Amino acid sequence: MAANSNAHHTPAPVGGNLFNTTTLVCGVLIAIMIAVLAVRFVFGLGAVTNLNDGYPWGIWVVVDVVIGSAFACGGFSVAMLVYIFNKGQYHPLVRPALLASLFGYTLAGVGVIFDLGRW
Amino acid sequence: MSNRRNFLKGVVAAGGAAVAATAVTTRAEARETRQRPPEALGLLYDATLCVGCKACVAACKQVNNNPAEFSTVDQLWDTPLDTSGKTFNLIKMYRSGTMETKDTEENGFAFMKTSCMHCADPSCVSACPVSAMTKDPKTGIVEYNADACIGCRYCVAACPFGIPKYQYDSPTGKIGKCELCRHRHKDGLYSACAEVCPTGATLYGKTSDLLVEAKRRLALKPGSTAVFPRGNISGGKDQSYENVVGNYLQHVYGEKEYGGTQVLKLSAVPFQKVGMPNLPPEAAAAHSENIQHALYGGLMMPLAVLGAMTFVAKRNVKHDDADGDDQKGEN
Amino acid sequence: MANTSLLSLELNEKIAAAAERLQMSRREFLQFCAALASTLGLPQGADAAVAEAVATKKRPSVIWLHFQECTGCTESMLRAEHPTLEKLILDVISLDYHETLFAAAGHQIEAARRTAMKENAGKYVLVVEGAIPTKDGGIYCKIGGQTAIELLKECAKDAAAIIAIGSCSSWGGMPSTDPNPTGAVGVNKIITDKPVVTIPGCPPNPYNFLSTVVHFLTFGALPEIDALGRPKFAYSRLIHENCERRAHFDAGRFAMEFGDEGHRKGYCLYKLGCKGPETYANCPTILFGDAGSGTWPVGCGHPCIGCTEEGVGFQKPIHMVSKLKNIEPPLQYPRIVEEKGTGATLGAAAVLAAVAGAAAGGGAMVAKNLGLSHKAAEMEEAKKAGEKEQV
Repeated sequence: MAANSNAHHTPAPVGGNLFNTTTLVCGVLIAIMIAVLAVRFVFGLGAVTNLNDGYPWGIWVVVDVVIGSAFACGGFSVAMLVYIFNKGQYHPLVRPALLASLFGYTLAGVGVIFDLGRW
Repeated sequence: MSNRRNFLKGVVAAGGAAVAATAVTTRAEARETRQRPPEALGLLYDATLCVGCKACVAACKQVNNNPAEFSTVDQLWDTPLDTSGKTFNLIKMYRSGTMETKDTEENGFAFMKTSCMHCADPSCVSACPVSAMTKDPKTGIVEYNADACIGCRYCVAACPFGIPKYQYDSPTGKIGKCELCRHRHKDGLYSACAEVCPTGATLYGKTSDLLVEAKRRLALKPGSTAVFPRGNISGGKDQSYENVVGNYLQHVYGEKEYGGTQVLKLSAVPFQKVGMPNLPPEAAAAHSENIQHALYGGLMMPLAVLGAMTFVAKRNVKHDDADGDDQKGEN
Repeated sequence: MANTSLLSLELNEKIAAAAERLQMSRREFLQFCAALASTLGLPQGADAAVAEAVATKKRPSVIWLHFQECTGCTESMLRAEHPTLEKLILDVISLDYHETLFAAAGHQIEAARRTAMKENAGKYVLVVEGAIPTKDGGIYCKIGGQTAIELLKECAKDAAAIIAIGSCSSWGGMPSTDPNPTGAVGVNKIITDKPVVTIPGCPPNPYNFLSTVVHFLTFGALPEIDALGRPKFAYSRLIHENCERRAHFDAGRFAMEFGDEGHRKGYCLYKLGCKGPETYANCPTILFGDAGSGTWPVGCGHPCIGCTEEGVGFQKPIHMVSKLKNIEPPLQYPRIVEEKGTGATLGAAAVLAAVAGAAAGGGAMVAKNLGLSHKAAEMEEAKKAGEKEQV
């Protein structure tokens, strides 16, 4: 067996077909997203978000700021705490946590661009 | 466009400066609610004089090049239901019961103008992350710069009166709000709503003059006849005329609310009932900025947290040569 | 009103006779009757009834009293242009007493009045022009030794209908202006036991008066009146509602002073003190007097002074802006709080919750499978290693 339990697993290709159920479902979701964004960039925010002056912020802000940055912040916090408290046994958590943070902040950053009304 | 660039440059510069200056800056002073500048311009809206003709609404649309908005099926008349990104000024109506008499709380009706109050300490200016909303230091007009705006709609959420509105039907919508017709000032003109108002219900002028006029009206005997100015009270042609004094509430709305607003209002129906919120003399902007500056003033709190974390990290460092035997022993 | 077809009256002999009597062509006569019917706001077919009534019914006896007035109402009647209205006044009705128009004078005319009243008791129409002084026993207006109050009460006793023409007899008018030295009041303050139809105006449009008389002639009853005794067909709308300058009011375009640019362009006269928004009259539709197109005060560029409205005409200064009368405030005005959009509906929240739940469940499953797949991979590797060893 491996000498160190903290050591990373040997990288290996995932393999399998590129077009499987997961990627196809995600592809459909992405197509819907592109269609929604196209409408947003032609007819404005109101056409796709049902936002109005009574509700200037809606689900997009929830996704951008609340979910995206919370997700990212959680990842960074976990990674940071592992180092600050020097708990080596939790080190395998660091990479997925940072990956989650990357996704989170990318989601928030890219998402907010579409939610902002002017540039 | 240059504004946005300048803003970004400013952000970079400010970031650098903040990093450089963290060690020496002290915490920001707690700031008081700002007051109106001495030359502040504004409006006085007297609901008892208003006849609900909506001439001000039409004039506002015209001078701001705003299109008509419809809330009826026939789409014949400009009938916005609320101020919007394309309606900066609106006359709303209070209704109660049978709506028999004007300016009566029970079984009556009353009009109320809805437009920017031009606060002395505006929440929208405080909330704006990119300084697209600014307050003119001389005239006190709360101004909007579409070139700097990023469309985040913080101002929409921040305003206690619900005034800044976003154009949701445009891919690059702007914020729309009353700017006291500042684009007409250079031609010697003033706010179009006051210019066309047939009864002087909307009066333009320096807020100091308007406040004196409002106090004068409150001192008059209700039902008696008095002279009321029209148009521009601080100069311009005298258009005063005689009318009957309304049954005023003894309160000038905007005199003290949020440190004072530059648009003042008089009414016979309680202000809360005609959509004017009950606001304390301390502005929300001052309150929130005080909290924020207390937390981030001179970056002291972040530095303290960073220091604490560094201390903890340092304490938890284990040196291989000193006491790292346990790990090797396990292997 | 048996006949409801105006065309069938074209060849009617009585109509021809009436037209001849009025020195009109038959067509003019029928047109006049149709105009009266439409002024009254009567339905289609009523014009024929009006024509028949005017042509066939016995002319009602009319006694016309003059009190504190300027005779402007009579002048207005006489100056009506088309058709020659003085003919109608004299021929559609039987004017048995009128101080201005009568050739006779003194005791002769008083005797004529008494005779007419006796002969037509309970059938004659009493028209009153001018206010009635009440102060000091009403001594400020006397005719034939009788005060206005006595004369009015005497004539009103047997009248079939009482019509007060002009603002003075309607509510006091000009003579009742502050400080009202003679205590002038309208007819309905003296005659309280009978309905009084008031036709206020200074002077009123002759058609409003004539339509009221013809209504009485045709249907045997006076037209529907409002609380102030004004016929609803003429006085139910504010001048402001039908004003030709109304669009300027709505758009905020006002004349600021006489002769300025806005005034020359025909802008709204509200700021000059127009009383249209608080005055009930049909001036914008049938105009003032009968002098042709566009001739009414507002059409000529002068603000309405509210002559038909008690408390406005001759009371409020002309420069003082009027108080807008809203019977019912317009409903399309936005309310103080207009709801904009709705929050998440229950259905939407349920869908969101379902999606979130599915995502959480999926996440949990993924996390679970991650460990499993790791173990499975290790087992797989171990298996392979074993196979290699075997080979």
